[in-house]
Amino acid sequence: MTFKLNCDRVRKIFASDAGETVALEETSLDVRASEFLCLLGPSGCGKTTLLNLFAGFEKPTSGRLTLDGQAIKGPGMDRGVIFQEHALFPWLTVSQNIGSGKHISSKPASERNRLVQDHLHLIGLDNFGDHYPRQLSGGMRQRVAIARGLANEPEVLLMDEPFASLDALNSGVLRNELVRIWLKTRKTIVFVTHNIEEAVLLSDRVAVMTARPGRIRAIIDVDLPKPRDVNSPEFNAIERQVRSLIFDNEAIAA
Amino acid sequence: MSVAIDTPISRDSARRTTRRGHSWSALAYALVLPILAAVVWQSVVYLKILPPLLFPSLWTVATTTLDTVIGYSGTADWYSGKWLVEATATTQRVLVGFAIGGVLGTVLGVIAGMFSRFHEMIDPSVQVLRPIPIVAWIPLAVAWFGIGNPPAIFLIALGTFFPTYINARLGVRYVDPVLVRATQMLGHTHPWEIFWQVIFWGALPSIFTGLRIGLGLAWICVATAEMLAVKSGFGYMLWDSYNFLRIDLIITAMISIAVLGYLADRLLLLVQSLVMSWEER
Repeated sequence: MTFKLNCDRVRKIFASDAGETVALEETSLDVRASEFLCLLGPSGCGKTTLLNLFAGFEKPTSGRLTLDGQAIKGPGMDRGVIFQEHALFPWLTVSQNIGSGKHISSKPASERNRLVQDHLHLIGLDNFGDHYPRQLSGGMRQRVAIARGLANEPEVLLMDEPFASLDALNSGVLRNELVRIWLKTRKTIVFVTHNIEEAVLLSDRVAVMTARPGRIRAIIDVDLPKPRDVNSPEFNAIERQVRSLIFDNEAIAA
Repeated sequence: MSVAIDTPISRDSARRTTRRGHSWSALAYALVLPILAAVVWQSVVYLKILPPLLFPSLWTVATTTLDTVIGYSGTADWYSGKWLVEATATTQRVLVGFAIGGVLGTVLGVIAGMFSRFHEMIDPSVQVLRPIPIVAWIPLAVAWFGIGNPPAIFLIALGTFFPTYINARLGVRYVDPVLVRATQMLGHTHPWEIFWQVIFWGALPSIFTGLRIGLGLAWICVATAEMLAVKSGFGYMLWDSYNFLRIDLIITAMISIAVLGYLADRLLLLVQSLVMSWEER
Protein backbone atom coordinates (compact mmCIF):
# COMPACT_ATOMS: atom_id res chain seq x y z
CA MET A 1 0.00 0.00 0.00
CA THR A 2 1.39 3.36 -1.00
CA PHE A 3 0.54 6.53 0.87
CA LYS A 4 -0.08 9.63 -1.15
CA LEU A 5 -0.87 12.18 1.53
CA ASN A 6 0.10 11.91 5.14
CA CYS A 7 -0.32 13.98 8.25
CA ASP A 8 1.65 13.00 11.30
CA ARG A 9 0.62 14.19 14.78
CA VAL A 10 -0.65 17.48 13.36
CA ARG A 11 -2.26 20.05 15.66
CA LYS A 12 -3.75 23.35 14.67
CA ILE A 13 -4.45 26.10 17.18
CA PHE A 14 -5.93 29.42 16.14
CA ALA A 15 -4.83 32.26 18.42
CA SER A 16 -6.95 35.40 18.67
CA ASP A 17 -7.54 38.19 21.19
CA ALA A 18 -10.26 36.06 22.75
CA GLY A 19 -7.74 33.28 23.41
CA GLU A 20 -6.69 30.07 21.76
CA THR A 21 -9.00 27.72 19.89
CA VAL A 22 -7.92 24.17 19.25
CA ALA A 23 -9.22 23.63 15.72
CA LEU A 24 -7.55 20.26 15.30
CA GLU A 25 -6.41 17.95 18.10
CA GLU A 26 -3.30 15.86 17.42
CA THR A 27 -4.23 13.97 14.27
CA SER A 28 -2.51 11.42 12.09
CA LEU A 29 -3.91 10.21 8.80
CA ASP A 30 -2.72 8.44 5.68
CA VAL A 31 -4.45 8.88 2.36
CA ARG A 32 -3.73 6.07 -0.09
CA ALA A 33 -2.96 6.60 -3.76
CA SER A 34 -6.10 6.58 -5.94
CA GLU A 35 -8.29 6.50 -2.88
CA PHE A 36 -11.44 8.53 -2.35
CA LEU A 37 -11.41 9.59 1.31
CA CYS A 38 -14.10 11.64 3.02
CA LEU A 39 -13.58 13.79 6.07
CA LEU A 40 -17.03 13.68 7.64
CA GLY A 41 -18.19 15.58 10.68
CA PRO A 42 -20.28 18.41 12.11
CA SER A 43 -19.22 22.03 11.75
CA GLY A 44 -16.34 22.90 14.05
CA CYS A 45 -14.78 19.44 13.88
CA GLY A 46 -11.72 20.70 12.04
CA LYS A 47 -12.40 18.92 8.75
CA THR A 48 -11.93 22.05 6.66
CA THR A 49 -8.89 22.99 8.76
CA LEU A 50 -7.34 19.62 7.97
CA LEU A 51 -8.09 20.09 4.26
CA ASN A 52 -6.57 23.59 4.32
CA LEU A 53 -3.47 22.15 5.98
CA PHE A 54 -3.13 19.60 3.18
CA ALA A 55 -3.71 22.38 0.64
CA GLY A 56 -1.00 24.46 2.28
CA PHE A 57 -3.31 27.41 2.94
CA GLU A 58 -2.69 26.97 6.68
CA LYS A 59 0.44 25.93 8.54
CA PRO A 60 0.22 23.37 11.37
CA THR A 61 0.95 24.50 14.93
CA SER A 62 2.88 21.26 15.34
CA GLY A 63 3.34 18.06 13.37
CA ARG A 64 4.17 17.33 9.77
CA LEU A 65 2.26 17.00 6.51
CA THR A 66 3.63 15.31 3.41
CA LEU A 67 2.72 14.59 -0.18
CA ASP A 68 4.63 11.62 -1.63
CA GLY A 69 6.97 11.89 1.35
CA GLN A 70 7.81 15.54 0.62
CA ALA A 71 6.91 18.12 3.28
CA ILE A 72 4.03 20.43 2.39
CA LYS A 73 5.25 24.01 2.71
CA GLY A 74 2.48 25.99 1.02
CA PRO A 75 -0.11 25.85 -1.72
CA GLY A 76 1.02 24.17 -4.93
CA MET A 77 -0.30 22.79 -8.17
CA ASP A 78 0.34 19.19 -7.10
CA ARG A 79 -2.77 19.60 -4.92
CA GLY A 80 -5.83 20.88 -6.79
CA VAL A 81 -8.54 22.38 -4.59
CA ILE A 82 -12.28 22.57 -5.24
CA PHE A 83 -13.88 25.17 -2.97
CA GLN A 84 -17.37 25.37 -1.55
CA GLU A 85 -18.02 28.34 -3.83
CA HIS A 86 -16.89 27.67 -7.37
CA ALA A 87 -14.06 30.26 -7.15
CA LEU A 88 -13.92 30.58 -10.94
CA PHE A 89 -12.26 33.69 -12.35
CA PRO A 90 -15.20 35.82 -13.56
CA TRP A 91 -13.02 37.59 -16.15
CA LEU A 92 -12.11 34.33 -17.91
CA THR A 93 -14.36 32.19 -20.11
CA VAL A 94 -15.06 28.58 -19.15
CA SER A 95 -12.27 27.38 -21.46
CA GLN A 96 -9.82 29.98 -20.17
CA ASN A 97 -10.70 29.03 -16.59
CA ILE A 98 -10.06 25.36 -17.29
CA GLY A 99 -6.76 26.29 -18.95
CA SER A 100 -5.68 28.75 -16.24
CA GLY A 101 -3.49 26.38 -14.21
CA LYS A 102 0.24 26.87 -14.39
CA HIS A 103 0.92 23.28 -15.45
CA ILE A 104 -1.63 23.20 -18.26
CA SER A 105 -0.79 26.71 -19.50
CA SER A 106 2.89 25.77 -19.82
CA LYS A 107 2.01 23.22 -22.50
CA PRO A 108 2.00 23.95 -26.23
CA ALA A 109 -1.24 25.52 -27.45
CA SER A 110 -2.48 22.49 -29.35
CA GLU A 111 -2.08 20.15 -26.38
CA ARG A 112 -3.58 22.74 -24.03
CA ASN A 113 -6.64 23.10 -26.27
CA ARG A 114 -7.04 19.36 -26.45
CA LEU A 115 -6.87 19.06 -22.65
CA VAL A 116 -9.44 21.84 -22.25
CA GLN A 117 -11.75 20.14 -24.76
CA ASP A 118 -11.29 16.77 -23.03
CA HIS A 119 -12.23 18.26 -19.67
CA LEU A 120 -15.19 20.17 -21.09
CA HIS A 121 -16.38 16.84 -22.44
CA LEU A 122 -15.71 15.10 -19.13
CA ILE A 123 -18.10 17.47 -17.34
CA GLY A 124 -20.63 17.42 -20.20
CA LEU A 125 -20.27 21.09 -21.12
CA ASP A 126 -18.72 20.69 -24.59
CA ASN A 127 -20.53 23.71 -26.03
CA PHE A 128 -20.00 26.10 -23.15
CA GLY A 129 -16.31 26.89 -23.56
CA ASP A 130 -16.89 30.49 -24.60
CA HIS A 131 -19.38 31.29 -21.85
CA TYR A 132 -18.40 33.39 -18.87
CA PRO A 133 -19.05 31.95 -15.39
CA ARG A 134 -21.86 34.45 -14.71
CA GLN A 135 -23.78 32.95 -17.64
CA LEU A 136 -23.81 29.50 -16.04
CA SER A 137 -26.00 27.98 -13.34
CA GLY A 138 -24.56 27.06 -9.94
CA GLY A 139 -24.22 23.38 -10.82
CA MET A 140 -22.46 24.13 -14.09
CA ARG A 141 -20.01 26.48 -12.39
CA GLN A 142 -19.08 23.82 -9.85
CA ARG A 143 -18.50 21.35 -12.70
CA VAL A 144 -16.19 23.83 -14.40
CA ALA A 145 -14.34 24.24 -11.10
CA ILE A 146 -13.83 20.47 -10.99
CA ALA A 147 -12.66 20.47 -14.61
CA ARG A 148 -10.23 23.32 -13.87
CA GLY A 149 -8.85 21.37 -10.91
CA LEU A 150 -8.42 18.17 -12.92
CA ALA A 151 -7.06 19.81 -16.09
CA ASN A 152 -4.01 21.11 -14.25
CA GLU A 153 -3.19 17.43 -13.58
CA PRO A 154 -2.62 17.56 -9.81
CA GLU A 155 -1.43 14.56 -7.80
CA VAL A 156 -4.45 14.83 -5.52
CA LEU A 157 -7.76 16.67 -5.49
CA LEU A 158 -8.91 18.33 -2.27
CA MET A 159 -12.62 19.11 -2.21
CA ASP A 160 -14.17 21.31 0.48
CA GLU A 161 -17.94 20.66 0.61
CA PRO A 162 -18.14 21.41 -3.11
CA PHE A 163 -21.85 20.58 -3.42
CA ALA A 164 -23.09 22.09 -0.15
CA SER A 165 -24.23 25.34 -1.76
CA LEU A 166 -26.23 23.58 -4.50
CA ASP A 167 -29.85 22.49 -4.30
CA ALA A 168 -30.57 18.81 -3.53
CA LEU A 169 -31.30 17.89 -7.16
CA ASN A 170 -28.11 19.42 -8.51
CA SER A 171 -25.90 18.10 -5.74
CA GLY A 172 -27.32 14.60 -6.33
CA VAL A 173 -26.49 14.80 -10.02
CA LEU A 174 -23.00 16.12 -9.35
CA ARG A 175 -22.25 13.39 -6.82
CA ASN A 176 -23.04 10.76 -9.43
CA GLU A 177 -20.88 12.58 -11.95
CA LEU A 178 -18.03 12.75 -9.46
CA VAL A 179 -18.25 8.97 -8.99
CA ARG A 180 -18.14 8.56 -12.76
CA ILE A 181 -15.16 10.93 -13.05
CA TRP A 182 -13.33 9.18 -10.24
CA LEU A 183 -13.93 5.75 -11.82
CA LYS A 184 -12.43 7.17 -15.01
CA THR A 185 -9.44 9.03 -13.55
CA ARG A 186 -8.75 7.18 -10.26
CA LYS A 187 -7.50 10.42 -8.81
CA THR A 188 -6.61 10.57 -5.12
CA ILE A 189 -9.40 12.66 -3.60
CA VAL A 190 -9.90 14.05 -0.11
CA PHE A 191 -13.49 15.25 0.20
CA VAL A 192 -14.87 17.26 3.12
CA THR A 193 -18.57 16.94 3.91
CA HIS A 194 -21.12 17.01 6.71
CA ASN A 195 -23.53 14.85 4.71
CA ILE A 196 -23.47 11.18 5.77
CA GLU A 197 -25.14 9.84 2.63
CA GLU A 198 -22.74 11.82 0.46
CA ALA A 199 -19.75 10.44 2.35
CA VAL A 200 -20.90 6.82 2.08
CA LEU A 201 -21.85 7.22 -1.58
CA LEU A 202 -18.48 8.58 -2.64
CA SER A 203 -15.81 7.20 -0.33
CA ASP A 204 -13.56 4.23 -0.18
CA ARG A 205 -12.97 5.25 3.44
CA VAL A 206 -14.78 7.70 5.68
CA ALA A 207 -12.83 9.46 8.42
CA VAL A 208 -15.48 10.36 11.01
CA MET A 209 -14.51 13.50 12.91
CA THR A 210 -15.93 14.95 16.11
CA ALA A 211 -15.96 18.50 17.37
CA ARG A 212 -14.43 20.39 20.31
CA PRO A 213 -11.66 19.51 20.09
CA GLY A 214 -11.61 18.45 16.45
CA ARG A 215 -10.23 14.97 15.95
CA ILE A 216 -10.73 11.78 13.94
CA ARG A 217 -12.98 9.43 15.89
CA ALA A 218 -12.87 6.45 13.54
CA ILE A 219 -12.10 5.46 9.98
CA ILE A 220 -14.68 3.26 8.28
CA ASP A 221 -14.06 1.23 5.14
CA VAL A 222 -16.88 1.40 2.63
CA ASP A 223 -16.36 -1.82 0.74
CA LEU A 224 -19.16 -1.50 -1.81
CA PRO A 225 -18.66 -1.41 -5.58
CA LYS A 226 -19.19 1.94 -7.31
CA PRO A 227 -21.48 3.35 -8.50
CA ARG A 228 -23.52 2.60 -5.39
CA ASP A 229 -27.21 2.21 -4.73
CA VAL A 230 -28.27 4.46 -1.86
CA ASN A 231 -31.31 2.26 -1.23
CA SER A 232 -29.48 -1.03 -0.86
CA PRO A 233 -29.42 -2.66 2.60
CA GLU A 234 -25.60 -2.75 2.62
CA PHE A 235 -25.46 0.97 1.93
CA ASN A 236 -27.95 1.73 4.69
CA ALA A 237 -26.11 -0.46 7.15
CA ILE A 238 -22.91 1.53 6.68
CA GLU A 239 -24.86 4.78 6.84
CA ARG A 240 -26.33 3.68 10.21
CA GLN A 241 -22.93 2.70 11.48
CA VAL A 242 -21.48 6.12 10.61
CA ARG A 243 -24.48 7.92 12.06
CA SER A 244 -24.21 6.11 15.38
CA LEU A 245 -20.52 7.00 15.59
CA ILE A 246 -21.32 10.70 15.20
CA PHE A 247 -24.39 10.86 17.42
CA ASP A 248 -23.04 8.62 20.23
CA ASN A 249 -20.26 11.11 20.56
CA GLU A 250 -22.67 14.06 20.55
CA ALA A 251 -24.51 12.35 23.43
CA ILE A 252 -21.28 12.04 25.41
CA ALA A 253 -20.38 15.66 24.71
CA ALA A 254 -23.83 16.87 25.80
CA MET B 1 -25.55 12.97 -18.96
CA SER B 2 -27.35 15.55 -16.94
CA VAL B 3 -26.98 18.75 -18.90
CA ALA B 4 -30.74 19.10 -19.19
CA ILE B 5 -31.05 19.97 -15.50
CA ASP B 6 -29.23 23.24 -15.68
CA THR B 7 -29.51 25.39 -18.74
CA PRO B 8 -27.51 28.61 -19.18
CA ILE B 9 -29.22 31.77 -18.10
CA SER B 10 -30.65 33.46 -21.16
CA ARG B 11 -31.75 36.47 -19.12
CA ASP B 12 -29.28 38.96 -20.62
CA SER B 13 -30.46 38.52 -24.19
CA ALA B 14 -34.05 38.94 -23.08
CA ARG B 15 -33.23 42.10 -21.16
CA ARG B 16 -31.34 43.63 -24.05
CA THR B 17 -34.37 43.54 -26.34
CA THR B 18 -36.62 45.07 -23.69
CA ARG B 19 -34.16 47.87 -23.14
CA ARG B 20 -34.03 48.69 -26.82
CA GLY B 21 -37.81 48.79 -26.96
CA HIS B 22 -37.88 51.32 -24.16
CA SER B 23 -35.16 53.62 -25.49
CA TRP B 24 -37.58 56.13 -27.10
CA SER B 25 -39.66 56.54 -23.98
CA ALA B 26 -36.43 56.83 -21.98
CA LEU B 27 -35.37 59.72 -24.24
CA ALA B 28 -38.75 61.37 -23.77
CA TYR B 29 -38.41 61.11 -19.98
CA ALA B 30 -34.87 62.49 -20.12
CA LEU B 31 -36.16 65.57 -21.99
CA VAL B 32 -38.86 66.44 -19.43
CA LEU B 33 -36.60 68.44 -17.11
CA PRO B 34 -34.64 70.32 -19.84
CA ILE B 35 -37.92 71.41 -21.50
CA LEU B 36 -39.33 72.51 -18.17
CA ALA B 37 -36.13 74.48 -17.45
CA ALA B 38 -36.29 76.12 -20.89
CA VAL B 39 -39.88 77.20 -20.29
CA VAL B 40 -39.00 78.71 -16.90
CA TRP B 41 -35.95 80.40 -18.43
CA GLN B 42 -37.87 81.98 -21.28
CA SER B 43 -40.59 83.11 -18.83
CA VAL B 44 -37.96 85.01 -16.87
CA VAL B 45 -36.78 86.61 -20.14
CA TYR B 46 -40.27 87.65 -21.35
CA LEU B 47 -41.48 88.84 -17.95
CA LYS B 48 -38.23 90.85 -17.65
CA ILE B 49 -37.70 89.64 -14.07
CA LEU B 50 -34.00 90.26 -14.63
CA PRO B 51 -32.64 92.81 -17.14
CA PRO B 52 -31.76 91.30 -20.57
CA LEU B 53 -28.11 92.19 -19.99
CA LEU B 54 -27.99 89.72 -17.07
CA PHE B 55 -30.46 87.23 -18.45
CA PRO B 56 -30.14 86.67 -22.21
CA SER B 57 -32.72 84.64 -24.10
CA LEU B 58 -31.98 81.04 -25.03
CA TRP B 59 -31.88 82.17 -28.66
CA THR B 60 -29.05 84.61 -27.86
CA VAL B 61 -27.17 81.91 -26.00
CA ALA B 62 -27.66 79.48 -28.89
CA THR B 63 -26.48 81.92 -31.57
CA THR B 64 -23.50 83.05 -29.48
CA THR B 65 -22.55 79.42 -28.86
CA LEU B 66 -22.83 78.65 -32.57
CA ASP B 67 -20.69 81.70 -33.32
CA THR B 68 -17.94 80.52 -30.97
CA VAL B 69 -17.97 77.21 -32.83
CA ILE B 70 -18.11 78.33 -36.49
CA GLY B 71 -17.55 82.12 -36.30
CA TYR B 72 -20.36 83.16 -38.64
CA SER B 73 -21.79 86.35 -37.07
CA GLY B 74 -19.19 87.76 -34.71
CA THR B 75 -21.66 88.00 -31.79
CA ALA B 76 -19.16 86.11 -29.64
CA ASP B 77 -16.62 88.94 -30.23
CA TRP B 78 -13.06 87.76 -29.62
CA TYR B 79 -14.32 84.23 -28.97
CA SER B 80 -15.92 84.07 -32.41
CA GLY B 81 -14.76 80.85 -34.06
CA LYS B 82 -12.44 80.10 -31.13
CA TRP B 83 -14.33 77.14 -29.66
CA LEU B 84 -11.94 74.49 -30.93
CA VAL B 85 -8.93 76.45 -29.67
CA GLU B 86 -10.35 76.75 -26.16
CA ALA B 87 -11.63 73.18 -26.20
CA THR B 88 -8.21 71.90 -27.18
CA ALA B 89 -6.49 73.92 -24.44
CA THR B 90 -8.89 72.68 -21.75
CA THR B 91 -8.99 69.07 -22.95
CA GLN B 92 -5.20 68.85 -23.18
CA ARG B 93 -4.85 69.99 -19.57
CA VAL B 94 -7.45 67.51 -18.41
CA LEU B 95 -5.84 64.65 -20.30
CA VAL B 96 -2.32 65.33 -19.05
CA GLY B 97 -3.40 66.03 -15.46
CA PHE B 98 -5.78 63.06 -15.43
CA ALA B 99 -3.09 60.78 -16.84
CA ILE B 100 -0.55 61.83 -14.19
CA GLY B 101 -2.98 61.72 -11.28
CA GLY B 102 -4.70 58.56 -12.53
CA VAL B 103 -1.49 56.59 -13.05
CA LEU B 104 0.03 57.73 -9.74
CA GLY B 105 -3.21 57.05 -7.86
CA THR B 106 -3.65 53.60 -9.39
CA VAL B 107 -0.05 52.50 -8.91
CA LEU B 108 0.28 53.80 -5.34
CA GLY B 109 -3.21 52.55 -4.45
CA VAL B 110 -2.44 49.06 -5.74
CA ILE B 111 0.90 48.96 -3.89
CA ALA B 112 -0.79 50.21 -0.71
CA GLY B 113 -3.44 47.52 -1.15
CA MET B 114 -0.86 44.77 -1.52
CA PHE B 115 1.65 45.81 1.14
CA SER B 116 0.28 46.96 4.49
CA ARG B 117 3.66 48.46 5.47
CA PHE B 118 3.53 50.76 2.46
CA HIS B 119 -0.06 51.61 3.29
CA GLU B 120 0.89 52.47 6.87
CA MET B 121 3.64 54.69 5.53
CA ILE B 122 1.72 56.78 3.00
CA ASP B 123 -1.93 56.58 4.01
CA PRO B 124 -1.83 59.02 6.97
CA SER B 125 -0.21 61.66 4.75
CA VAL B 126 -2.71 61.08 1.98
CA GLN B 127 -5.64 61.29 4.39
CA VAL B 128 -4.35 64.57 5.88
CA LEU B 129 -3.86 66.19 2.47
CA ARG B 130 -7.14 64.90 1.04
CA PRO B 131 -9.56 67.26 2.85
CA ILE B 132 -7.72 70.35 1.54
CA PRO B 133 -9.95 71.74 -1.22
CA ILE B 134 -8.21 71.80 -4.59
CA VAL B 135 -9.00 75.54 -4.81
CA ALA B 136 -6.87 76.09 -1.70
CA TRP B 137 -3.83 74.80 -3.61
CA ILE B 138 -4.14 77.46 -6.31
CA PRO B 139 -2.04 80.24 -4.64
CA LEU B 140 0.73 77.77 -3.91
CA ALA B 141 0.53 76.26 -7.39
CA VAL B 142 0.75 79.68 -9.07
CA ALA B 143 3.57 80.79 -6.75
CA TRP B 144 5.58 77.68 -7.55
CA PHE B 145 4.77 77.11 -11.21
CA GLY B 146 3.74 80.61 -12.41
CA ILE B 147 0.76 81.33 -14.66
CA GLY B 148 0.31 78.72 -17.39
CA ASN B 149 -0.19 75.02 -17.97
CA PRO B 150 1.97 73.61 -15.12
CA PRO B 151 -0.15 74.87 -12.17
CA ALA B 152 -3.37 73.81 -13.94
CA ILE B 153 -2.02 70.34 -14.65
CA PHE B 154 -0.76 70.11 -11.07
CA LEU B 155 -4.22 70.90 -9.69
CA ILE B 156 -5.98 68.48 -12.04
CA ALA B 157 -3.51 65.69 -11.24
CA LEU B 158 -4.01 66.35 -7.52
CA GLY B 159 -7.79 66.25 -7.87
CA THR B 160 -7.64 62.99 -9.84
CA PHE B 161 -5.13 61.34 -7.53
CA PHE B 162 -7.15 61.01 -4.32
CA PRO B 163 -10.25 59.14 -5.53
CA THR B 164 -8.12 56.96 -7.81
CA TYR B 165 -5.73 56.05 -5.00
CA ILE B 166 -8.49 55.24 -2.52
CA ASN B 167 -10.51 53.12 -4.93
CA ALA B 168 -7.49 51.26 -6.30
CA ARG B 169 -6.42 50.33 -2.75
CA LEU B 170 -9.92 49.19 -1.79
CA GLY B 171 -10.21 47.23 -5.03
CA VAL B 172 -7.07 45.28 -4.15
CA ARG B 173 -8.16 44.80 -0.52
CA TYR B 174 -11.53 43.41 -1.51
CA VAL B 175 -10.36 40.89 -4.08
CA ASP B 176 -12.09 37.65 -3.05
CA PRO B 177 -9.55 35.71 -0.92
CA VAL B 178 -10.93 32.43 -2.30
CA LEU B 179 -9.87 33.55 -5.79
CA VAL B 180 -6.37 34.22 -4.48
CA ARG B 181 -6.27 30.71 -2.99
CA ALA B 182 -7.57 29.29 -6.27
CA THR B 183 -4.73 31.06 -8.08
CA GLN B 184 -2.19 29.61 -5.65
CA MET B 185 -3.46 26.05 -5.85
CA LEU B 186 -3.29 26.30 -9.65
CA GLY B 187 0.44 26.86 -9.24
CA HIS B 188 0.73 30.64 -9.46
CA THR B 189 2.40 31.18 -6.11
CA HIS B 190 4.91 33.96 -6.81
CA PRO B 191 3.61 37.43 -5.75
CA TRP B 192 3.96 38.71 -9.33
CA GLU B 193 1.95 35.78 -10.67
CA ILE B 194 -0.72 36.32 -8.02
CA PHE B 195 -0.88 39.99 -8.99
CA TRP B 196 -1.30 39.42 -12.73
CA GLN B 197 -3.53 36.35 -12.43
CA VAL B 198 -6.00 37.63 -9.89
CA ILE B 199 -5.33 40.87 -7.98
CA PHE B 200 -5.18 43.13 -11.02
CA TRP B 201 -8.35 41.76 -12.62
CA GLY B 202 -10.21 41.55 -9.34
CA ALA B 203 -9.38 45.17 -8.51
CA LEU B 204 -10.18 46.47 -12.00
CA PRO B 205 -13.86 47.36 -11.42
CA SER B 206 -12.92 49.44 -8.39
CA ILE B 207 -9.96 51.02 -10.22
CA PHE B 208 -12.33 52.13 -12.98
CA THR B 209 -14.75 53.54 -10.41
CA GLY B 210 -11.90 55.63 -8.98
CA LEU B 211 -10.80 56.76 -12.42
CA ARG B 212 -14.35 57.79 -13.27
CA ILE B 213 -14.73 59.86 -10.11
CA GLY B 214 -11.24 61.28 -10.76
CA LEU B 215 -12.12 62.24 -14.33
CA GLY B 216 -15.23 64.05 -13.11
CA LEU B 217 -13.12 65.94 -10.59
CA ALA B 218 -10.56 66.72 -13.29
CA TRP B 219 -13.18 68.77 -15.18
CA ILE B 220 -14.10 70.61 -12.00
CA CYS B 221 -10.41 71.29 -11.35
CA VAL B 222 -9.69 72.47 -14.88
CA ALA B 223 -12.45 75.09 -14.74
CA THR B 224 -11.18 76.32 -11.37
CA ALA B 225 -7.55 76.32 -12.44
CA GLU B 226 -8.28 78.17 -15.70
CA MET B 227 -10.14 80.90 -13.82
CA LEU B 228 -7.06 81.77 -11.80
CA ALA B 229 -3.91 80.09 -13.04
CA VAL B 230 -4.02 80.13 -16.87
CA LYS B 231 -5.16 82.53 -19.58
CA SER B 232 -6.93 80.12 -21.95
CA GLY B 233 -9.58 77.43 -22.00
CA PHE B 234 -13.23 77.49 -20.98
CA GLY B 235 -12.47 78.24 -17.33
CA TYR B 236 -10.64 81.40 -18.37
CA MET B 237 -13.42 82.20 -20.85
CA LEU B 238 -15.93 82.02 -17.96
CA TRP B 239 -14.13 84.60 -15.89
CA ASP B 240 -13.10 86.76 -18.81
CA SER B 241 -16.70 86.93 -20.04
CA TYR B 242 -17.88 87.82 -16.55
CA ASN B 243 -15.51 90.79 -16.50
CA PHE B 244 -17.19 92.06 -19.67
CA LEU B 245 -20.62 91.02 -18.43
CA ARG B 246 -21.19 88.68 -21.36
CA ILE B 247 -23.64 86.31 -19.67
CA ASP B 248 -24.30 84.50 -22.97
CA LEU B 249 -20.57 83.69 -23.30
CA ILE B 250 -20.45 82.53 -19.66
CA ILE B 251 -23.23 80.08 -20.41
CA THR B 252 -21.50 78.99 -23.63
CA ALA B 253 -18.36 78.18 -21.63
CA MET B 254 -20.39 76.29 -19.03
CA ILE B 255 -22.22 74.26 -21.67
CA SER B 256 -18.89 73.49 -23.36
CA ILE B 257 -17.37 72.14 -20.14
CA ALA B 258 -20.51 70.06 -19.54
CA VAL B 259 -20.41 68.58 -23.04
CA LEU B 260 -16.69 67.80 -22.92
CA GLY B 261 -17.00 66.32 -19.44
CA TYR B 262 -19.93 64.18 -20.52
CA LEU B 263 -18.11 62.93 -23.62
CA ALA B 264 -14.98 62.14 -21.62
CA ASP B 265 -17.05 60.14 -19.12
CA ARG B 266 -18.75 58.19 -21.94
CA LEU B 267 -15.36 57.50 -23.50
CA LEU B 268 -14.01 56.16 -20.20
CA LEU B 269 -17.10 53.95 -19.82
CA LEU B 270 -16.52 52.65 -23.34
CA VAL B 271 -12.90 51.81 -22.52
CA GLN B 272 -14.08 50.12 -19.32
CA SER B 273 -16.63 47.98 -21.15
CA LEU B 274 -13.97 46.96 -23.68
CA VAL B 275 -11.39 46.08 -21.02
CA MET B 276 -13.90 44.39 -18.71
CA SER B 277 -15.74 42.56 -21.47
CA TRP B 278 -16.78 39.80 -19.04
CA GLU B 279 -19.14 42.14 -17.16
CA GLU B 280 -22.83 42.22 -17.91
CA ARG B 281 -23.89 45.40 -19.68
